[in-house]
Amino acid sequence: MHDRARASSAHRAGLRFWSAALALAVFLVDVLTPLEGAVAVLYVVAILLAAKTTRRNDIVFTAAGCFILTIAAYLLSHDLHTVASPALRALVSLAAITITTLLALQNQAATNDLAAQARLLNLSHDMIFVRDRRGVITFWNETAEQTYGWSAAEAAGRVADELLQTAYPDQREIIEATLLGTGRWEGRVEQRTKTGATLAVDTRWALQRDHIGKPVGVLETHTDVTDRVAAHTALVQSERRYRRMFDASRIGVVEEDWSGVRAALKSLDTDGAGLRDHLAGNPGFVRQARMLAKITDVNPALQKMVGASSPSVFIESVDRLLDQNDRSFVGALIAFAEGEPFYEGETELAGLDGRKIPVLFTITFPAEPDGDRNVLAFVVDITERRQSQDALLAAQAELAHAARVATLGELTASIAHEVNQPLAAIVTSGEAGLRWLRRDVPDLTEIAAAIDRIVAQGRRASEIVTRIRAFLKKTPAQQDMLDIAEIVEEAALLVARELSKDSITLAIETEPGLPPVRGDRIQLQQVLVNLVVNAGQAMSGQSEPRIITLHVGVAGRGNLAITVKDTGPGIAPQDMPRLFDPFFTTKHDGMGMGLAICRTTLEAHGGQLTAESLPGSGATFRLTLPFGQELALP
Amino acid sequence: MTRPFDEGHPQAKSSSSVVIIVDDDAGLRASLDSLFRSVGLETRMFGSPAELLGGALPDRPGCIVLDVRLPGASGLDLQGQLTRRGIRFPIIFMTGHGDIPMSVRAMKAGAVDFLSKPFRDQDMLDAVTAALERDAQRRAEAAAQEDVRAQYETLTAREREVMGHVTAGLMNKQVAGLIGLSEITVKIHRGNVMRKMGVRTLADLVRKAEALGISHARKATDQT
Repeated sequence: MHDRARASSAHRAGLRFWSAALALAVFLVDVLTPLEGAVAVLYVVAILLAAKTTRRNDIVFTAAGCFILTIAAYLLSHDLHTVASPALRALVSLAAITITTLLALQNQAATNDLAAQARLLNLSHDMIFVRDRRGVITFWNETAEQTYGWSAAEAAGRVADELLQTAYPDQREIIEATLLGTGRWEGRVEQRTKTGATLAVDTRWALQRDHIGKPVGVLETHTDVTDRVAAHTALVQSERRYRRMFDASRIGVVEEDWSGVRAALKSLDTDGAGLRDHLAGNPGFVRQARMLAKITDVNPALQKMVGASSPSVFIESVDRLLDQNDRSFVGALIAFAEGEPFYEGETELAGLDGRKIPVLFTITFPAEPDGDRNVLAFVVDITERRQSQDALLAAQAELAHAARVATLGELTASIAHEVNQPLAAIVTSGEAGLRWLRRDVPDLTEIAAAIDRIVAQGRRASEIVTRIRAFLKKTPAQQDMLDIAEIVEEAALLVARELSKDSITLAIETEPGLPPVRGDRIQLQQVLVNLVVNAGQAMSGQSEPRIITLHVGVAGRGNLAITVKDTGPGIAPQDMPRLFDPFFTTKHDGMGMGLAICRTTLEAHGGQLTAESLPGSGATFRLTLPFGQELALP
Repeated sequence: MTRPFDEGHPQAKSSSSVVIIVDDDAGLRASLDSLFRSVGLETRMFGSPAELLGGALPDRPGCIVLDVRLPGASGLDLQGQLTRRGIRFPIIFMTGHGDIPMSVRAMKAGAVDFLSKPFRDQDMLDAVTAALERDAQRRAEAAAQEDVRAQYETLTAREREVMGHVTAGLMNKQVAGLIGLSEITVKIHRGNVMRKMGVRTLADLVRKAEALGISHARKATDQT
């Protein structure tokens, strides 16, 4: 810029010098030579030279100088007396100088305007150049210089398309035709810089015409959008990638808008614990919140999962998607209210064909200001996993049932005796009652007592049968909240007769106030029956003491512990490692499934079964079970 | 077979008999109690062999009704213990199904009857009647033998000697020769024996001698 200014100022000084020199030369010729003619007219040339500086002062100064020199030359060559042709020539010269000066001044003003306009073009952030109809560059602004790398001098005279290697989005002829037809064209092109870099450029062309409408040139304005294009391309790719993930993923994705839920939660005006209580007491609010959680999109995987042909079926609310028995939404609601970033859970979706689809899901709550509108839920169909899990559970239940049958088989004699006892009492009481009735004076008190006994013993028999039927019942594993003391009591009743046969004492110690456990009543009962029968069998051949101690208490945090301890011979150390292996048994007629099934059962309940023994001083089986967590909400 | 407890004769039996019930099942115990009392029998109830052995047993005609399977000791064990203690009540066993080996053992050990639960009341009452009769008879025999022994105790040594020889079938003369006494003296001794033993004929005396187990006279005969 500075160089340019300096160059321009040197150029201007040169013009001034030559202008002054020419004026002086004309003066000398005019005075010293006897030429007859309007030599002074040549001063016009000096003025035109001065005009080249484009400075108004230069023109005025030069014009004044020429004026004075013309008059001075006239006075020197002729005196004032002569007014004939020389005076006329001098006047013509003066008139020429005056006219030229005026024209130069006018031209200078116009040039200044043009320069100001050119400066404006230079100020633009766009690359601007002007080319003629043949494409030859005639103007090249500073931004063009900076961006393309060629200076205005280098660019001038070159054909624009060749210089910039412009690549057009369309055929050049068509673009030219558009330009001629409408006077403008705009589009995106690629151009090369001097260094070879490729630029993406938004370009606008305007056709310049002369006064008769003939096209004379084109003003091209270019905006470098390389960065913007790159950013946009990256965005598009990212969008495309995520869209692909959304569309092609086997994981179901649900886009949801929870802003309505947020508003509803705010209107509640409760804190964390209060919210839980509130939700527990107001299933209606939960239902309402399900309606307020709007679904904005679902991906093909989710559509397939629920049997929908288009996402539009679900562009409604979460209520449409979740099964009526869903319990997970409450948890998600609380996580959302407490500002958790995500919530994971398991639930069932309502398929369009009425099918329930078991799923695992993660729902994410973005933290950004508008995050409530962009809640995403990722859903995995676990039908197959659930089915194989169910099959496994069913097989386990079958096996456990078979083991129960086997266990009761071992107890048959005791059970028969146990059922027979009340029946014998009923028959005898009935017969005794008849005898009291048929006496000469029937004894009504005795008859009533006999009938009471019949009723009580009938009930007792029925209870025994019910207990045994329950124990032998083949049902899928249940998940109930169970009072462990009850289960222990029932198990003890089942084995009581068997133990008394061998004069074995069963001592039950139950700590009071134990929380419930979650699981299957019969299976847990089976474990206890098994352990107690085993303990009894271990002691049946030995002399006193024959005592089984069953202790029910708490072990560590949140665990129930039951120990079954006998005073038998204990477990041989070499048998210890295989104790819980299937088909391992030390009984001559044992199947070896009892303890294996006990352990499997406990592990399915989230518990453990271990054994310890000092040979000679009995064996202790210890089982632990987690206390059940009551599901907080319906 | 007579049926003393048939419906028409509810109180036919002497109330001095007692039925001892041993069963751990309170319901059955009460039912049996009611049944026996309905025919006028007196009962005692025990929940276990230990209770029975710990309590005082009546010295009256009676029988024991006992469950074979009892907690603590089995019915068979109890039977053995009672025998060792000289308690001679006849025992009627009750059993559940499938206890045949046990019933055989019980019968060998002297049980008078064996009833499977649930039993018919008449069967139980018949068994009890039979057992009570048997006990009464045993007691009567025992009492009679005790009388003879008391009479025998009153004899002098010489009179016992004479009784032995006479019941062995020797003539007075043979007895006199055998023990070196005159026939007259032997005759006096013999008269005293007949009087003290409360018999009139020799045949009665012989029966009493047999009940007492006097057998050395036979040996003396063999020596002749």
